[in-house]
Parts: sequence; C-alpha cells; structure tokens
Amino acid sequence: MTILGSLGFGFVWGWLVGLIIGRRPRPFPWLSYLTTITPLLITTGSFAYSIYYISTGNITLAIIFCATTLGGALLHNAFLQAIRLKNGIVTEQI
Amino acid sequence: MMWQEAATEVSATLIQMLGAGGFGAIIGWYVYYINRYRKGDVQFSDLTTVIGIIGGGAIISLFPAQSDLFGAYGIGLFVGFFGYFLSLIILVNSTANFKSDWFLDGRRKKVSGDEEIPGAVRQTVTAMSGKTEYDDTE
Repeated sequence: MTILGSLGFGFVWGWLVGLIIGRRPRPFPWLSYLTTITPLLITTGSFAYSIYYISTGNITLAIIFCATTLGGALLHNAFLQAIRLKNGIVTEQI
Repeated sequence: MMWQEAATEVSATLIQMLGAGGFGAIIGWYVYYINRYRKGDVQFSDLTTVIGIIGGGAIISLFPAQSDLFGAYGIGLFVGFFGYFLSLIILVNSTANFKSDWFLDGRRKKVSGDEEIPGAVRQTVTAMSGKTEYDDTE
C-alpha cells in the first residue's frame, strides 16, 4: 500500500515537474535552468525525505518516489511530444 | 527483528483508509484544477502553494508513521489528479469542437452564429500550456 502511495505521489509530482520544465522557452537559458531546476530538486528531495521519515527509515520508498517523479516528468513530455507529432504542431514552448 | 518491526506498525481501519484516499483524491483533483486556471505562464512560484498542499508538513503530519494511511493518500492523489486529466481527454474526444491539439495551445473551432461564450465565463489557460485562451474566438 505504501509503495503504491509513493508511486501515486511521485507521478503527480513528476507530472507537475514535467509541466514546469517542459514549458520553458527554447533554447533553455542557463540562468533559467538553474533557477528552475534547483528548487525542483530541493522540493523533490524534501518530499523523498518526508516519505523516508513517515515510513520510519525505508529508503526504498524514497528511491521509488524519486524514480517515479522522473517517470512522471518524462511521461508528461512524451504526451506533449506525441500530440505535437500527431498534429504537426511546432511551437517554441513544447 | 521482524517481530519488532511488526510490533511498531500502526493499524488503520478501512474507514480511515477510505478517508485518506478520498482526501487525496479531492486534493489531486483540485491540484489539476488550480493548475488549469492559473494566471499566465508556468512558473515555479505558481506551484509553491500546490507543493504545500500535496506534500506539506500539515499533510504529512496527518498520517502516523508506519501506517498505510499515507499510501492511501498517495493513491487517492493519483486518482484525483489523473482522473481530472482523463475527464478532459474524454470530453475533448467526445465533441467536434476540440481536438487533441487543444492540450498544446488551446486551439478550437470558432463559435458558430447561434452560440456564444458569456463574458462572465472565467478564462482558462490550456490544460498543459501557459497560453491564455479565448484570444482566437473573436
């Protein structure tokens, strides 16, 4: 149950991360990169620690959460890319 | 060792699990709703409130350590968030006025002669982008 919870939490958070990163203008400015990625990493780490804490020391759950966050972000961008390819839309912010 | 770990687990009743799951589902649904009706482009600062809602200390402290309540919350969060998204997909696919590219930049068919969008309807951004809508309906 807790594993499923970590997966669900991670996918929701990852989808939001993908939304933030995937909608940045291209080319990705380095300053924007730092100011965007850094707080996302810190927040993801904070969530992972919360899961580690609430499960009283289960590091596996924290790792599952981080991996699922990455998966959610990639899934979000894959979804956008699929629609873009299907419809032949080219925009700067995809 | 296994016995000691089992002894520290906090049992949760079915009604507690359903409550945590339902709570998560409502939070997830509103997270998508808030994101969809945000103002302007996507920025990290827009999501700080959301971050506090879905994973803040107030939420985490609701669930006792070593219980399944956090798991139920996470599952509910997933169901609510992606349930909203699934609802949008179903609605977009069930009408001729929108296609899947609405998710990208919000394009849609123009309002026909006997239809209107009331002025009081709140403007939204597209489901997944930062562009403000209704610019192309005039």
